[in-house]
Amino acid sequence: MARSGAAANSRCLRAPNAKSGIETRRSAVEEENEGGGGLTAVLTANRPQLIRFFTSRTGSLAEAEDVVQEIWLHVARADTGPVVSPLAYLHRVGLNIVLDRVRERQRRMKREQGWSDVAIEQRGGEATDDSPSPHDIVDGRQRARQLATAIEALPPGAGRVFRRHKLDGLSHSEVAAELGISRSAVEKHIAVALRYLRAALE
Amino acid sequence: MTHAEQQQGRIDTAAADWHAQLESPDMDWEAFGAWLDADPAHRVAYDAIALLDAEIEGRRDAITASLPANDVCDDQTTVGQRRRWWIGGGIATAAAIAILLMPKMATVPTETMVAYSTGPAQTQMIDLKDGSHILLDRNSRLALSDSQSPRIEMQSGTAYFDVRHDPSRAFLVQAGGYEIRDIGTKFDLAMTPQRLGVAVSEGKLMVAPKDGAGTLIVAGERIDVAAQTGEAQVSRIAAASVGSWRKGQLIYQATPLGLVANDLTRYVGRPVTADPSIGDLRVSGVLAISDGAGLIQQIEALLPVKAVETGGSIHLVGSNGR
Repeated sequence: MARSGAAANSRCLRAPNAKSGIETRRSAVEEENEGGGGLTAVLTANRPQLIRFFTSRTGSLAEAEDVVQEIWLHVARADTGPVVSPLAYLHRVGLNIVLDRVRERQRRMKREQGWSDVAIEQRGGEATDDSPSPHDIVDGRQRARQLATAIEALPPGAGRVFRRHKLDGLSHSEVAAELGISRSAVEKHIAVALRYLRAALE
Repeated sequence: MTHAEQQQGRIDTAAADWHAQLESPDMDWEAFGAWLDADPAHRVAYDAIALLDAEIEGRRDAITASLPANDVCDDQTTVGQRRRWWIGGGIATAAAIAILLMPKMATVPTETMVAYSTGPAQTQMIDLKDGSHILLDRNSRLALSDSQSPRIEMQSGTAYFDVRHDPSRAFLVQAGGYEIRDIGTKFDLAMTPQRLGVAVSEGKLMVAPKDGAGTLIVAGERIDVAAQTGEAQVSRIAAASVGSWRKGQLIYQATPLGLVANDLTRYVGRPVTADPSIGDLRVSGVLAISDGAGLIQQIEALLPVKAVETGGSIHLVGSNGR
């Protein structure tokens, strides 16, 4: 087995010591306890509710259990700052996990049904390369233009709110404050925008 | 508009309404769940809305570039530049990607693990269902659960991993208190009770203590972790020399004798230790493994050391002065 330990080439690291790793983890969790009400504790206490919700979301108890497991992994490992509403946060983390799974399933289905990207097929019929091909990049630009056109065509009120929130990155309450409307009005505008976009891009 | 279209329109509207409320402090998750459950078409409609929203978020920069300047934004460019870092946004995407790379720990204890072990004169090739391969070196042991997300428990010795790239699943190797997370790499893993060594010849991987923060190791690097103290060192190596034991060679370049002794233990079949006074002695050169018997003589020829047999083990000490 090859080894090289020339001191000049070496860099020393923060030791990935099992003990200190766990220690660091604990203190992070404790901070969470103070700041956000203890995400893992909230998860444990609300596990049945989360399982129920994600069973509804996915249509499968087994998948719901996987998703809740992944939520747990996420909160146990990720450096989340203080969270205002822990239970809502856990739901949103889980929704993102589900969406990733949906996306992956669609991608795989496309591959299996032979709608693979021509550029990838030319590389030997094995659609395992996930790096974007030149074809994908052109596709991506076209798609972005298509989305931009659809966003431009939104009704003015919904379009303005949607752009401020989605593209400029303002939170719902920031958009509400800026435009002098209520938060629920912001939500309505965004819902209308999504509904329009969905129809326009079908 | 047909009745079916009206029906679909209503469902899409409801899906968009629910999605827009996710950030709301008054979000009623139970009611959202009940709506999703009420009709399989609800789930499909919600998938479409959520995917579209995530896609717009993902293509935000390209979309913004294709749009004429936002009229609200014209005199407030600084506000327009701000990025939003709530969970539905960039962080969530990053987290979701990270989750894909993460192992499933503490999962179903019922999974079947198949044990592999090799004797002093044999190596074994293990082919995984996903097209990945593991070559297990002599006197080595591992257990394998060849599921959708393969999990390997390295128990002792060395193995060379050739992992096929597949972003949809996690490939996890557990070795002592450490985990190696990988999505498409070629690497060599050597394990003794004292030490864990991982050398990467292609791609990159993450080495982490269980439940701890990891260290990224890329092609042309190796990490050595002392099991007792957790002290770790990353060093540069020649990527081509990784896993050279597969060709019957041990290639060293300024490698501490202490590390070399770990390798010798595996091939000689008896514990080989280096006296602490010479443990830092550097080894450079190529040793022929053959049946392992000649390795000690080769080391003696290469370095000012001699082998002393005590009990069942071999102790390397300085040959001049002691």
